[in-house]
Amino acid sequence: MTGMAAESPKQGSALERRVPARLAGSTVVLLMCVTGLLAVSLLSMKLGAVHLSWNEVWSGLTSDSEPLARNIIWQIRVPRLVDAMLVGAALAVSGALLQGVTRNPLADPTILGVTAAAGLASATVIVIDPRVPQWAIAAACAAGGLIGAGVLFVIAYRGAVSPVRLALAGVALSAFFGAAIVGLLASSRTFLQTSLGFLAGGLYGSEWRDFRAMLPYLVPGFAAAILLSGRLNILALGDDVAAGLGVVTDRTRLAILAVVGVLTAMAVATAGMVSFVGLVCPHLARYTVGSDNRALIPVSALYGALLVSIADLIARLVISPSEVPMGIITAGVGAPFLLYLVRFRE
Amino acid sequence: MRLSIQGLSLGYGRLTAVDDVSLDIESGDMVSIVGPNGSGKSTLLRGIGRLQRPTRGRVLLGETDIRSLGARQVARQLAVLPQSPDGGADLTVRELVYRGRFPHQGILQRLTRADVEAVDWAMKAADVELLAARTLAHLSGGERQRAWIAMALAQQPRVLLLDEPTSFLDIAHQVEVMELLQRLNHDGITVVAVLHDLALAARYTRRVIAMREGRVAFDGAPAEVMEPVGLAKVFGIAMTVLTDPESGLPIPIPRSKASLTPRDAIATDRP
Amino acid sequence: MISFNGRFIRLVALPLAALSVAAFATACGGDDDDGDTEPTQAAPSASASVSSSPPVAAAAYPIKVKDLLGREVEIKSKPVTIVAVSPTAVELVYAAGGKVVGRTTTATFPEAAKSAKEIGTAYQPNLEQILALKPDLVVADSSIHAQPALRQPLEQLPVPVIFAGAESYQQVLDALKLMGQVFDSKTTTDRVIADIEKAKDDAKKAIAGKKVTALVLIADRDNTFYAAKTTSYAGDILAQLGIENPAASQADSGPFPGYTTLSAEKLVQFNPDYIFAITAAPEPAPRLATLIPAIPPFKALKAVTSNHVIDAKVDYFVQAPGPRIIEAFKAVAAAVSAP
Repeated sequence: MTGMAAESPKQGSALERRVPARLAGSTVVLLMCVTGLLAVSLLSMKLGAVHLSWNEVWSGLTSDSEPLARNIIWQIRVPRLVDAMLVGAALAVSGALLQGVTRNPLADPTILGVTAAAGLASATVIVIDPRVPQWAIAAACAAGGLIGAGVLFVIAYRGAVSPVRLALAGVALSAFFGAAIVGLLASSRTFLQTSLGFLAGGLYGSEWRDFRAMLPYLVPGFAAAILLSGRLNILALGDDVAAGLGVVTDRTRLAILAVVGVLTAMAVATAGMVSFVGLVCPHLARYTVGSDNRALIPVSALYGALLVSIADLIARLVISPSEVPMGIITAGVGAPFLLYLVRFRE
Repeated sequence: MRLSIQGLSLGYGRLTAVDDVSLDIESGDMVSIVGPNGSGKSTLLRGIGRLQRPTRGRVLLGETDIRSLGARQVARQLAVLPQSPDGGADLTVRELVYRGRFPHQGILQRLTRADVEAVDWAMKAADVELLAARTLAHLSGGERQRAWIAMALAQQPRVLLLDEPTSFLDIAHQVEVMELLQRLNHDGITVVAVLHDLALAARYTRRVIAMREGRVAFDGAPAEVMEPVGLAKVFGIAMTVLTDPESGLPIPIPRSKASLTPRDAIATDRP
Repeated sequence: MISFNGRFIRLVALPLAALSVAAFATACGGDDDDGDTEPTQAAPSASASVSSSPPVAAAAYPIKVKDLLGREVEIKSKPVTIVAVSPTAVELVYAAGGKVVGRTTTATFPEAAKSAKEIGTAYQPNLEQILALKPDLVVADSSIHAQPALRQPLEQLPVPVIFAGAESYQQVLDALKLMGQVFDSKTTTDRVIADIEKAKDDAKKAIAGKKVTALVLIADRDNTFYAAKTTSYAGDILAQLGIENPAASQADSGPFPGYTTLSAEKLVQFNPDYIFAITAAPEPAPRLATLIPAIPPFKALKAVTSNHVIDAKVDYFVQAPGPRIIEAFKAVAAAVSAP
């Protein structure tokens, strides 16, 4: 036997054995993320078109003594913050899943047309009956997202696997659905003024109603994403290797795309067509904890929540009392990051 | 655990790649599958390894049709390594080998003592312990191949199927890998390898199966089946077969690509 | 694929279900004002008239009113601190004798409203600033805020909201009647209604049975013309005065409700006696009324040669449907009755 002279490497601490070694070294960054989320949460409750003092924030949060603060915090800012974090997490997880399943670091739900499919469903439902309740919009978006993911699967995976075909199919679908949405909104006669918020992505007016509508889809969606993360790891080794390890590749891919469809749809139902979150956050997460999806997916969710909540806070403050659609801020951050990725990282 | 291949046919669309092949591979066999490009040898391996659905016939592992078992169940007994796997470039060797435990893990993939022990054993058996913390991208060809074999071993298979494990490796690494496979076979694992190098097949395996146009052309111990006429029929090229003085095993040497009839006199120094 | 065996259920499905239920309960509990008032009738249409329910015999509060989106709203006491979220809403409040503490940026009429705090635009009112003014009533606009993206955030405010707006002459009257109920100022609003009706009658008399055709035109940024149909506010103003509108039978097209896209050829074909041209952009943008006569195909139009292309003020005809319909009637009458 060759080279057995040296003593075998130790097994490493229990922590290292339980999760990939890189996570242990990234604890600092993760703590910073969590701290960041707390900081954004506090600032989101304090700042806005109406500035509250810290005292007012505290009493608004905990008591009835200042009804204005209480209303602003509990009826406007907290639900909006919660919605922002969930939207960010959903988009980031979708992006991580897509980058894994397509083996393409430039994949995200917007690029692959899933966002547009959900958006078309939403726009169609609203144009048909403007009084439809939010839970129905969420259901329509979920259907749209699933259809978009399904069409993607059928076009790209007939017979043999092809990440390249998937990416191309996604681009085509995105263009097609996107054009349909713009056409629908432009001719809709009623929604011209608010379509910018929908098309660019924004959380104006989001509230507890949106949270309740999203939750029945997000909970199983996030759970499924975490449960599928191990299989996604195996898929990343190549289709033949994955099949050899007992992963049914087509079914797993279909399941992953379905989860992407549903999670993306919830983000669209609440915030319209936000872009770049699904692209940027998995990369940040990969840089922090490596590519093991069992860690990558939860950490992407963390970064997503952070990115969208920060973007929304900026969107609310920068030209207060008017708002910039939040999607413009995420694009403003995401596009340069994408260029950086293409130019400097392989 | 015998592998019984019964009337197996596989194809791509209208093209038949493997045509009605029946074989038995006994437990502990060390088998190579050789043949020219397009002979169906890789496809046969994929069919045996449950990577591709046959158009006819079946494969039995012991007494059970492998298609009636779940993919994970099969993966716990049978490991398949495709040709030149290219995934996982940013994984360390240890992380890659852990992936091999997937067929044995539950939904939440909690690490168990059994997992840790299997990975340790696999890395030792494939001799990659010292490479545990290196990423695949930073390994040599031979080291990388051993890492993949370690991953397959982590499945704790009874049968190891490999598709051209020595392609693109230099001669030293080829020997490294074949000696590893021999050791594993010694330890009781059935090894079936598609090889493109006849000399390696003759030297390291005890049974050579040659494929031509989807059918088995010959099947037996190297010394018996590797003879010029048979080889010429399979590969379409004249060959001289020498004998290695040390081992007594055949060494096929290609001659010119001449047209062949069974009556062509072909030089041989075999008695 | 995930195997749904007993272990899966124990380890995963049950905790997930419990978590979902818990999260649901928290969300429902934390939200006092559901704001889920579903309308009790079909969506408002410009031509249908929505009548408010007659007030209870004694005009004392609390009263229940039905706003122009068909919503039942309870007014507990006479509203004093009012935020109005569109120009129409502001004018309606003042017409009923009230005043506003918060208004949208473009709502600068009447003069008294200018000193109110700006709370954003009509299409994106700032909810926090509305709340900060501690209003006891928010008046929203039933035409602008009908769409869910705007309606839902306003409805979920912990303050009573009334949707009052107008897309027709009749709706102006209905909106005023609603305001009269809300502010217990029926006499004031009845007077305004009477003024409006008189203005309409005066305008009709001034036109004195002249059989004329007129188009109301507006152009978008690409210089595509749109003509008002009778389903629009401006179109209804013409219809009320008995003026014939050649565009009335056209199909709706284009992004503006109640307007139809008018090609140059159609304009030439219709050749109306009068053209009321609305310019949406403020000064110093060129007025459509001066642009039309300069366009070659239109130079031979009756309205152009007889100098009957009138610059119609956007506030009266489009932007602020409401009590200033009086000005619109006057403008039309002045144009048509002139020799």
